[in-house]
Amino acid sequence: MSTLIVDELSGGFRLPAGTVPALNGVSFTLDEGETIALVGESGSGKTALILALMRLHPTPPFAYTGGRIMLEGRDLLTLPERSMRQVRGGAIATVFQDPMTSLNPVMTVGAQIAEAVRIHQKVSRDESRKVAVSALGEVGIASPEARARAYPHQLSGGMRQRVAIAMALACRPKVLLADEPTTALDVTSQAQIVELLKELQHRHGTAVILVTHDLGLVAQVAQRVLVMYAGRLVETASVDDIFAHPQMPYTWALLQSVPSRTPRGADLITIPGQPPNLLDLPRGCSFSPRCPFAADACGAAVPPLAERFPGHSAACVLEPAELSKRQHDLETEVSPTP
Amino acid sequence: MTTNVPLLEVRDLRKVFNAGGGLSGQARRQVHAVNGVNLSVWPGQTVGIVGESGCGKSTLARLMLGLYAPTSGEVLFEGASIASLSRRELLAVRRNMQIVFQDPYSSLDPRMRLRDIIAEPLVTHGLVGRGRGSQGRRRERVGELLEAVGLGAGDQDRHPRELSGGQRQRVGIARALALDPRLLVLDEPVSALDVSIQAQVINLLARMQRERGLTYVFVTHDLSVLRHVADYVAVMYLGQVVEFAPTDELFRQARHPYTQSLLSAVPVPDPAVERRRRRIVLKGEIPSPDDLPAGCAFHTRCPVARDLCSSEAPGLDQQNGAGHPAACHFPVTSAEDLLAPQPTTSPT
Repeated sequence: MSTLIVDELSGGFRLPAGTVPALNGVSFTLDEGETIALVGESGSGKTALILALMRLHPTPPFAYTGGRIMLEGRDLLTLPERSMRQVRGGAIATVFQDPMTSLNPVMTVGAQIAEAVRIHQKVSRDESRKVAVSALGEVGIASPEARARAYPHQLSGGMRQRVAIAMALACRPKVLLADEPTTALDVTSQAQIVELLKELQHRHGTAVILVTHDLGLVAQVAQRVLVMYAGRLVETASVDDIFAHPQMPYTWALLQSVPSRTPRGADLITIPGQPPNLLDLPRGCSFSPRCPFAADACGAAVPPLAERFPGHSAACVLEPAELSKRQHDLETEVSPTP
Repeated sequence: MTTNVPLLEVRDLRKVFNAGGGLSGQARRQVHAVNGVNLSVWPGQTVGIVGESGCGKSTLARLMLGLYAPTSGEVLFEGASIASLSRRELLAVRRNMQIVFQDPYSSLDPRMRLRDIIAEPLVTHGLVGRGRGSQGRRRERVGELLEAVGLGAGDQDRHPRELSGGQRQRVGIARALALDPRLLVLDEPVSALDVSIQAQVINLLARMQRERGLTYVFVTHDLSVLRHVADYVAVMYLGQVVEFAPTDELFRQARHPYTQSLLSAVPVPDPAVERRRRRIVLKGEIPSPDDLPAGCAFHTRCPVARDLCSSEAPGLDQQNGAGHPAACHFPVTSAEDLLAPQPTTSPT
């Protein structure tokens, strides 16, 4: 049973220069306990989608133009703001990239977790404090009673992110939206935080959407992957299928540009140019101007996200066999096998 | 050209910053940012320096360039100590070593046009004139540099705000190459960029090195980038180099437990490998550089530390049959040495 169903979600920012179509017909489901990775370059719409799911975009300038966000049978887009406030931090919680800006600098970390608990549960002040301390203990913070009295600036980056996770999970959300939760951290702290997230998710059955540009992290934690480009989902598949045989040239090129997948000294395959300006999208497939395999047909119409193999959808006009041949040709051209 | 002298060498280099005190009301603290580093960089090579925030890698890079004065120890460029040079000689050395910074947003003056940003080092070093009479010569040289880094000569009149992050980093590289230096210090040059753009800049740096015979000191926290670009890697922890080895050897057989845990922490972009992998997850946090632990700086987090480690600091020259320098009393041979024994009943 799916915890979250996003169905043809569309929306954009109405600006003086025109409407920026940040989200265009986004559909996916998220099951209980599942981890989905949402990947794409800066500006592809990843964060816009996360904020739209929480209804955190100021409206205006943002406006939803269609679709539904079904959380356990309720459409979040039809809820009054009062009920939505109960959903945020209750059924859906978030962890953002920079824990310094997402925590309140003038409240102790214990007090801010306790406040979040009181907003969502009918508990006394004392009880909420106890929940906060046990939440801090659960994320592996040593001597949580003492640490609950600390201010965010007294903690290291890794500790602050633990606090943010403790706060997000204190009310036992069904869905955790984690937007680049480890990007600001050092690699050894990152490893600690990832292990912690996996363990807590396993214990509570939380469903997670992980926004990241780190394909290594995707391989490490995700079961399924959504690839976003210019406000659309352009490929969705299981993590194994995405890495083994990507069906969208953009996904393939992203994978190729990771240094560790290319022999030392050989040139990396790059994606030429920049992501498109959403106010001035190219005709047809938005990726076609940067695509190494683009043909005339690509400029004709936007290819729909269509299922190519069971559970594996892609938005590309090239047939799978043709695509894999062309990918293979380019890979061997760049790094000839000895 | 003599090749029996390193292009750049640092000897027992230390940098202590004084923090706190004064009006802040806190006690004075001494931050040991770089704590006795020896390193040689040979012509044409890329030496990578890797470590986590606060390990001193950026301070080391700035000491190499003479941007900070060392507390003790020395920096030698082509065998001559920078501290002993006259102003004139120092200027000549400075021409030969340039830096590219991490953040292409804050390292370019937003009010200057690209032509002025890139011409500035040429003017400062008197290679082209400042006045109107030299305008044609300046435009020509700036145009060449912009084209060399994959931008257009016609982009001269643009401002940094009109460029994307990747394009800005190309401008930073063009500025660093303006004086035709022999050494580039690259301080996290691709860390702020998207992976696709990162690949473009890595390819550009590789091409520049081939075409111009450049020597690179590549500072980064990203091991997968270093694996692709570096000939040698120095791993830093709390102001010290704890391991130094040819890149392939470091990735195949790291001897220092910290290096092993760094390698283990980096996720591999392959789900099948990730499922099989067991990770060394270090406990705790990096100690503060103003309160260094006694003995080996890593012993507070090391999974295999023994009594000796908390009393006596291991030297980097101490080889212990490691095959390459590793500052450890008890070098390991593989990640297995650091992992808890596998449970005997393993499901799946």
